[in-house]
Amino acid sequence: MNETGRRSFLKWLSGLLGATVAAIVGIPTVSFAISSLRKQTSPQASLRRVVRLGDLPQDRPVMIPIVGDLEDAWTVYADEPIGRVWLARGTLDSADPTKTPLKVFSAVCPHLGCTVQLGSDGKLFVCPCHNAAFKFDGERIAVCAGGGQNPSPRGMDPLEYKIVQDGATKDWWVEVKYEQFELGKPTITPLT
Amino acid sequence: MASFCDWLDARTDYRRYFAPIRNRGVVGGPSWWLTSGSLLLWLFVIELITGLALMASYSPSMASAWASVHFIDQTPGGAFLRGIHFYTSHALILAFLAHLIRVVLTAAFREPRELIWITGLLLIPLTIAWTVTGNPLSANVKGMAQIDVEGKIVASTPVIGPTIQRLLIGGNAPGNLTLTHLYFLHVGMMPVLVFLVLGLHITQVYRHAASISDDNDRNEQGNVQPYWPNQTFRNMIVLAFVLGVIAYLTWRFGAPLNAPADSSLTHTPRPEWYFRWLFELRRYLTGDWEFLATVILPTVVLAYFLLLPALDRALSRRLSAGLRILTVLIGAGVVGSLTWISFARDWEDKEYMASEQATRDLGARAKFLASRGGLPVEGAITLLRNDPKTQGPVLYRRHCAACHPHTNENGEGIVPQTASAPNLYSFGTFTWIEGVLDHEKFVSPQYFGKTKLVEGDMASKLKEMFEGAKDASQLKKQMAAAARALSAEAKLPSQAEADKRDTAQIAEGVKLIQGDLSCTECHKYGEEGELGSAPDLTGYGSREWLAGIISDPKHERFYPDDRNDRMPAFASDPQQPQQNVLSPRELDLLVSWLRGEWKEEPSATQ
Repeated sequence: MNETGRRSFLKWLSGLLGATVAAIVGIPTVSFAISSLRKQTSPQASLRRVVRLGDLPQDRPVMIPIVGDLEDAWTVYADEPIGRVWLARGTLDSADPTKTPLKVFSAVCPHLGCTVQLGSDGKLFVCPCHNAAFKFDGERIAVCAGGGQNPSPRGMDPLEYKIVQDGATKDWWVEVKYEQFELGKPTITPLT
Repeated sequence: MASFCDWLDARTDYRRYFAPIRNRGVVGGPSWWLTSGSLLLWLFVIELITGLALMASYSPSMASAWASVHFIDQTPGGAFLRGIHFYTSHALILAFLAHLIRVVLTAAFREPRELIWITGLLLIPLTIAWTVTGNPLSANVKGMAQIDVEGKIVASTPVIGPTIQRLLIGGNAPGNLTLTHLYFLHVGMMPVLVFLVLGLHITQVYRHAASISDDNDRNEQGNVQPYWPNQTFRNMIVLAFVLGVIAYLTWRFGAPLNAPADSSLTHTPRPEWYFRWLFELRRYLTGDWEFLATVILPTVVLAYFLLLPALDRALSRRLSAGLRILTVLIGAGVVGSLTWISFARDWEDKEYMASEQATRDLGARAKFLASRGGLPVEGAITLLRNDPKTQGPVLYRRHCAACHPHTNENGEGIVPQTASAPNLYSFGTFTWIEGVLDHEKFVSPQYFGKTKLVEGDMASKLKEMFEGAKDASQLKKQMAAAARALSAEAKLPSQAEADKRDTAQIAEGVKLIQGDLSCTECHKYGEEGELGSAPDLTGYGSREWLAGIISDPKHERFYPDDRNDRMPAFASDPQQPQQNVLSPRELDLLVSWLRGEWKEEPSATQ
């Protein structure tokens, strides 16, 4: 092999070894650096007991915190509010409480995620950030509370719920499956 | 591409800046000797890259440091990254030793390379200090113990010692400020210092070219070959080999993470391997002389190397070569054998090895608990403090083992010096209670043989029943049923299945206790019998029952008045828990441990 050929072989081999070294260090480094971009394995959303059905006022929505284990990276905060829901109850069906009309919405505004409040007139849900307004049945209203177009891409997000009877006390309870959804889109997609 | 480079060069003149690297030559041709310097540089770069990445998820405080490092290990790529960072720090120190030896042997410190020599020597203590500030950052029990002792060694230096120690530790005892100070030093101060000195070192190497021989003529007039790729190729082979070893160690063992620091954990601190020779030397220099090993000697060694060029000049070439070879041989021999003696002593020290094993087990336990239930707000320290499996034996040894053994069928476990009370291993289980209901076992040392219950009604009643029995096997069967029923009272996790399965036997046992066996003549059991003459059998061995008898054995439910033998009351006053021997938390842990209630990996319980 002549000198030029030997040198280009050495260059090629050095490059290969250098690339191996770079890969051994680089792959875990990059994989670690972008780990926050991976989908989080959030705990399976489950039905949580939220409030006694009888304690809910009729035709006047109330906001109730959902209590659970709040995970923040390595720390677990036991029994902390992990979110809030709006519950709007109709007339109590005393014959079969499970048939009581009830609406359960996540209090997270589908626009940019602020907590939706009750409007000043008490007739609408209004988000305090950009005045997105919703009817009590969750429907998006085209015009904002203060005029202008409603910035929310969809109505309030309904949550799955169940009305159940406690085995011991025989009280009727509302159980809600609290979930979070992608913001800013016309369709409802659960965050995973 | 070429035109883009031309465009860039016309604006930045970059080719001129990189020319020294591109045109670098290697005098006398490529050499394996020259690879040690390049290896060191690349190891520094690897530490820099991996360290910067790790910073993204590390949190320096006593409550969160261990947790965040454990979190890094759970993150994709995190454990490997931390392993590379850890093993590279050790490789750096080994590479420094190799580099130093080659520089001494080739007399590379001769003029005009004095600055290379001085900056290089300075880099060694700087690098060691850099790793020392990194080891405790995970706030683990080993690292925090090391920095505590290291701080005290620094403090023994006259005049400036105490000041430096306080700057390092941030106060009198290791804590939050230690971690923030060490973090500042590790990712801020030390890198700046090291790379300043390293920058001077490398620019000097470029200025004067590396020396490969102690024959100056060869260094000055040898034929020059291009550095790239002739030397680079060898450098890369060495680097790839070393990193391969590091990656293997990482993949095979991972970076260690000991239990979270807790002064209540028993741990025997030892320095890192690169301090072992001084640690060993310190054994022979006790008292006021200790200072010689910990401070004076390292300084003298450093000073000797700094003065080596002057010695070399004063001596003839032959004598200098002899001195340099002797320096390497004696240095390596002394440091190597002291290190070996120190490790060998520990390997033969059963107590130390047991302590090491215990530390490893605690680390594994803490990691298991953290990955099972997450970390409580109070921080990693509570993982083991609130773990019955860890704290149970500690509390038992301290409070119970003066009288009660806790040994399994092979006699393994906690053995008192003079056992004088029942063995509480598997207390409340069917096997344990069956033993109580056997007239011979009852008076054996495993049960009440060494207590005054030997003289009591239970012992005589049992004897009477067994000796007067018409059908001994029938009585045994009845006793077994009674034991089944009583052991179900405890609701032990280890018997959950049996409790569900043997309902018929349990129901029969309940009837026998209240009827044919006439236990309730003395004992209360459910609605039958009365308190005051013998221990309550209702909920026998349950959490509540155990907590009750440990709190106050003289309570009417257990052994009122002089019926109690010698058992002290450990928590007799529920109103003032601070006056009791056991706090409510300790009592809870002890009860859980006695009942075998703790989180365990599924495989371990099977």
